[in-house]
Amino acid sequence: MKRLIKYFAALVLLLAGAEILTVAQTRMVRGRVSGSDGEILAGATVLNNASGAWAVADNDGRYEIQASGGQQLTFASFGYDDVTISVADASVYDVILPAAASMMLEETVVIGYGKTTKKEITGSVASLKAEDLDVGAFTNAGGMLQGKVAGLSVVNPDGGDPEASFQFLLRGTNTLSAGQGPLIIIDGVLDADIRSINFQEVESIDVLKDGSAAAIYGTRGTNGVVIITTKRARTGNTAVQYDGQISVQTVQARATPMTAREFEYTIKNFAPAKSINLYGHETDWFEEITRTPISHKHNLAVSGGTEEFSHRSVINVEQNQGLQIGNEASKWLFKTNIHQKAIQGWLDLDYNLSYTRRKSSPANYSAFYQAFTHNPTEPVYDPEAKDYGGYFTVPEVDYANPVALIKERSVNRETGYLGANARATLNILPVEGLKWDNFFNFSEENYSSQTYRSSFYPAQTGKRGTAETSSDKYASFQWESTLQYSKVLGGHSIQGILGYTWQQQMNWESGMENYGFDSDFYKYNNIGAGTALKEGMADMYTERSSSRYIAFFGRVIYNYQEKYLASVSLRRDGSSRFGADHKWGWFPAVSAGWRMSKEPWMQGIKWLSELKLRAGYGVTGNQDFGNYKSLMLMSSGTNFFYDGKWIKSYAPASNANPDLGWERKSEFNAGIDFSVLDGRLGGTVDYYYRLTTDLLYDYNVPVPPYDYKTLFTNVGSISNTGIELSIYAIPVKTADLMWNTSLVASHNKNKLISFTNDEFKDADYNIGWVATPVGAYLQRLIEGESLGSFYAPVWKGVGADGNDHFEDEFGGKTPEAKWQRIGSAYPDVTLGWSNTLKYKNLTLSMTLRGSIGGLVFNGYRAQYENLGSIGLRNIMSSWLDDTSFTGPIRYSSKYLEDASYLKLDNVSLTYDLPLKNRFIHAAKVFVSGQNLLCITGYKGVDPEVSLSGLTPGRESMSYYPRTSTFTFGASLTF
Amino acid sequence: MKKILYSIFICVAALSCTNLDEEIYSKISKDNFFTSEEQFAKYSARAYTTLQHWGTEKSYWTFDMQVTDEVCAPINPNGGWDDDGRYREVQTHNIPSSSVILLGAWDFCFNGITACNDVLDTFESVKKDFDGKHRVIAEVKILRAFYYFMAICYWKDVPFSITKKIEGYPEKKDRAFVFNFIENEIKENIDYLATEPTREYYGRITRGVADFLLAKLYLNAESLIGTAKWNEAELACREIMTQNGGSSYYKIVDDYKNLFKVKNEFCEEGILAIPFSTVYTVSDHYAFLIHMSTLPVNLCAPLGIPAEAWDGLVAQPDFFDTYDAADRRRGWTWMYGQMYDLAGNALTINIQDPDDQNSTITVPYIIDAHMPEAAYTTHRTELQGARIGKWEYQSDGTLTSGQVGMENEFYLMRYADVVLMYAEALIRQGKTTGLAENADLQKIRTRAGLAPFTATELTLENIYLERSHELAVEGWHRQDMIRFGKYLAAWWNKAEQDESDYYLPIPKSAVSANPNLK
Repeated sequence: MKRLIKYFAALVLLLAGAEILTVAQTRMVRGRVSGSDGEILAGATVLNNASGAWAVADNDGRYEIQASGGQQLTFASFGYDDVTISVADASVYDVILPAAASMMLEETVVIGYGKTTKKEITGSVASLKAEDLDVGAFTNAGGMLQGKVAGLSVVNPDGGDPEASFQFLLRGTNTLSAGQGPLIIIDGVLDADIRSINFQEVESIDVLKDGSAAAIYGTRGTNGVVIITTKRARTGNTAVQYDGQISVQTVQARATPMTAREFEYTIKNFAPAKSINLYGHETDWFEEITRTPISHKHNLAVSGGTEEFSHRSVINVEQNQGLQIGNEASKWLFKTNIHQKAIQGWLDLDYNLSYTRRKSSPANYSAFYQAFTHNPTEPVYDPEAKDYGGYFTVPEVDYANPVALIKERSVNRETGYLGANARATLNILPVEGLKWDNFFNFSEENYSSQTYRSSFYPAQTGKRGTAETSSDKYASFQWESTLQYSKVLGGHSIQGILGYTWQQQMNWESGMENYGFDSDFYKYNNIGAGTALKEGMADMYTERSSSRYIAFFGRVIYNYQEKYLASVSLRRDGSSRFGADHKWGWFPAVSAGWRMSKEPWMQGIKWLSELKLRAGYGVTGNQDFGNYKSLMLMSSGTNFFYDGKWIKSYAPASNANPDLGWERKSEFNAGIDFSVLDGRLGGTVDYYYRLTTDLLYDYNVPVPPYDYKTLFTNVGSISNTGIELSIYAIPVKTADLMWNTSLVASHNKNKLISFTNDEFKDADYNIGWVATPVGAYLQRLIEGESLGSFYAPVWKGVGADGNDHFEDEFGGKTPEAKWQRIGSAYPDVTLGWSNTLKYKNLTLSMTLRGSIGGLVFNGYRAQYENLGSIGLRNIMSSWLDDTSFTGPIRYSSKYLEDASYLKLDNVSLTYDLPLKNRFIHAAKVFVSGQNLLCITGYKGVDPEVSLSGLTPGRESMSYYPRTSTFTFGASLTF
Repeated sequence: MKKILYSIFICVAALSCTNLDEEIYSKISKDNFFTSEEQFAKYSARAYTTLQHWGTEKSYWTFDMQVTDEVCAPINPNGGWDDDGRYREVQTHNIPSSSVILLGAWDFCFNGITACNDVLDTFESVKKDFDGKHRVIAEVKILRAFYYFMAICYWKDVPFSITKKIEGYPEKKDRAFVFNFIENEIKENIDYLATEPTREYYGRITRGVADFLLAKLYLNAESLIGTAKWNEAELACREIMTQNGGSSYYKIVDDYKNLFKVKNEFCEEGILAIPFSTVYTVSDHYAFLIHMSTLPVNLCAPLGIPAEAWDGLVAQPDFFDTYDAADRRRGWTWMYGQMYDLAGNALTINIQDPDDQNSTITVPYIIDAHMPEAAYTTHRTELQGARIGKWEYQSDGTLTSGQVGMENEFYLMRYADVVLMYAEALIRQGKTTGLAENADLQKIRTRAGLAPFTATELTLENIYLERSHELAVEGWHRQDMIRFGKYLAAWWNKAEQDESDYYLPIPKSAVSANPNLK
């Protein structure tokens, strides 16, 4: 992509001179194309940028092409960077293209508050360019990182939901109760909403993984930093690019209940006592609430300008359908980036303005659960059931007609996002390399939601229609000022920065609820018409909060002859969320690198292109918890009858904790970067040890003396140790065919070192409660063990009595004290494997992603793969596979399954159409399939479940089915 | 470098760009709260609202019903109420320290004590005076004494703290210490309280409440501290009976049912009401939700209750059988026999045909108060177990779907209890002369459809039965069973026990939060 843009930039520059060129003399120009590594580049393409004429180099790398003086020729060959030359008087031009491997080392890597190159980096940073990312349809740019970065798990727990978002987990779980999402920075905006950009506009994504790299972000660095750079303003003639795609989805995985026939068979043969539940119809409830969703997305980008003034503007429109009937999500986005130079090179200005509007009618997740559990012999409708709006209804707790659930509800959600920012860089020209940069950003997100549940919405009978509206606003103001200096003096290269950050975030929330409507006609549009307001039963609220974040930081990056590298940074960070005695903290980092391959004594090793050793140490924090946690606040909860009327009572809602601080993570990272065989094979290996201390958790404290029964405070510690591997290779490279492959693998070991101290002992050790009928805590927090440790009775099998039997069983049950550790939810190894195969104009790419080890709790099996649950409700079809189990539900290791999987994430085929002429500069079409296949022994919906939070590895009953997405897309550049 | 850093630091500090104070908008901190006298009164309300926890599903009250011979919660026909035996272990007296129902009782007491301590500390630290400040302080102190009394009735030693200003964890104190504290606290503060229970003081601590508490304290003195104080109990009761110039402010009302109606506020028999409201007390932690705990789903709609009740608590059959057939309180307290809808139509229910597993038959909805002991551990049917029907169900349509709180007030202290305590104190002292002429005592009998007590019938055993039936499922029964020597005996599904059963374990979470309780 980058290459393409370069090419067009060159092209459009020339178009200006086209008038003159038409009268100039055209002649034959020839020469030889070779690589910087000495290869003869047979098959290299030569393009006359002005005329559009093409030529291909022969087996000796020789070419001939028509050109006239002043025209430009662009040479390209796979695995090498493009070179553009200007034709002068000579008629022979031999061209040497730099090999991609050496280019790779020169590739820019975005680090916090600056840039460096791959060869100079000393921390652990994964850098992805647009061409490294998959082709297809994504709900947001987060999905593009799946399987691409070693150590970064990106999970979509919401399947085919058109609004699905991705959960990130970097290098294991490092917290007990604070957030686990990385700090996302988009074009300099801190804590940006990844949904505010279009995934097609991503130019690069850089992930700061280790402590030494992330420490420049202080208390927000622990979960890693994802820096997204979008396509920026370019100079040159106006280029217009259109990208369009249309997608269709099919169900890839879902929870499968019995069909009506299976249900009837099972009841008649195994549970005749429950025959009263046979209603004689055949309904496929899943079918009743789903459809084949079709979505389309369009992106139009216009860019161009001069050195003094250039811009890029984008319009993006999307219309997405979900699998569930009525589930829709649409988006339109406008974004413009303007770059301007002023005062004779003293001042660089960069403005961004973006507005995103998202509108959706979200899915009702519980309808999928109800469709699973709903009796398949019930009809959908029953004209007699006037009290229930004509829906066939059996009034039971937590049992609702799925069709009524989605049809008797209307939800409208809208989000408007406005982002406006400006960057002014003062180049202090008298001092070379010195500049003062100021960045101001304002962003505001307005969210509104309206819901109406009609008088026939299940379990709302008697309420006669419920309307709810809410509207929230989030605003952020950010100012960053940095003084930057860079200088090369002999072999010494130095890059220094001093900076200050100020950010204020503000939240407003409001909502109201009313019910008792005489007609369902109003929906949520006339909320005052409900009777509940007058009866004192309506609800309304507003809420407002804010937080402020301030930091001072400095960093020096130094290298000697690009051989000995070092970086030192220090940040003084403060957040209003911390306790009064604990507002500020220091976050230092140091790292160093040694490029051994630059040593004279290694120059003899010809096959080795690059070998670098790196090590770093850095301290980061985590302040991703709610506002006001350190204060003793009062809540006005309960009411009291006082002097003939009800008044509100006030009571403490939290204890004051002036010592409340950030969770502190220190991390050591060591790595090797290597590249051999002229860059045909290379990679990175990283080892890390992260120790997080002062973990935050809620502890039970005695009342009295405390005011409130729990205290949120810093006590425990967790370690994560791991190894990460990224390998890339170019196994095949000929004139027409090139195969690029890259593999990322990672292993992490988590350990809860301590959780209590002398003062704070009591908290929830048993976690992950699964409600009745399963009725068990799945996991325990035990010092010395991994988080996410599943405990359960060890299942020995089904006995002759039809019951489950367990080790240490007593009266059919194993007491909780005898439960054993079955394993952890976290995988042993996660893998990502990406391949790109290019043949002439065709590109085939394929991404596989896998996970080995780890357990997942199969909630559907635990609750519904047993005979006891059949009756009013349906059960899993898989019960019929083994009908010997007729006993009651007892939680055990039976339902803790191996979560290993291999997924075919993406297969895409792109064809570059040879349609280049004066109007169309590039054209391509693609087809792609996403989430095509999942090979796993797991019997549930999807073994890839959320690994974030304190109780990872459980599949929820309310879920969205997994879908495969097939996309056809076209891209045209004018 | 350092210099530059510092100069920038100083520069922006001057511009107040290092200010990290939290700004609060929609929450309130204590420092900002007290701006007027009325707010002090509102703050004292938090000491009272803990009382509303009484009416919930895991509370002091429901624990008391289940730990005595009154109520049980066998597994219901839907498999509910097993919950790893949490109800069974209370009823069979195998109560582990991890019991969440026991914890509900503990929290009732100690959340109440903490709230009182906080209110008193706050009143002291915020030096503002207002009318009736002494009265409000006296109310909160006696309320705290009440919570301590309830605590020592259950636990042998309790953590003791009367202020939260002391560093460290509260120490454990024995019953005798706490008993003396309660006695002194009442005596020192009783004179500040309102004597006449006007509507202004409805639901609050008045002189009558303080005397009632004193009567309870003395009456149970023998079982609590080993020293009988029958005479003191008699005097405390007589105080209530004569406060209004020789007569009482309170009455035995004509209709027993008036005490338990949906609209039962300001009942003249009530001494301390916990007011509940369908609008204002509706959370799971502060509401009166007996209908949810006891009713089967199938009875909700016919009774006009738009809820899916939980079908849990039912009468223990043996307790049900202790009633005299003529005692109308049996039918006023328990729901059994044929069930009717609001229009008076007899209800029916579809059940599985005992002769043919594949079909159902329709039978009358008749609840049998009896069930075999084994039905308790396997499960009972929907038609087994008398339901609690003492409080009128809110059938007037004012309850709405999903709402868990009823409107009925709960009279935690009422005059009939005073009269029965008085009779008991006299009998225990052998002072029965003239007691049979006590009009209030006999009215308790006659309004229940029973003949008045003859002088010879005034025995401890008869007073015990009278208390059991008059005050059934009102939360005082455990004290009575202990005082009358009934608590260790065997009863339905519960074996005979030794004296250690008088003491309940301190909840596990309380012990781990406070090392002094080990």
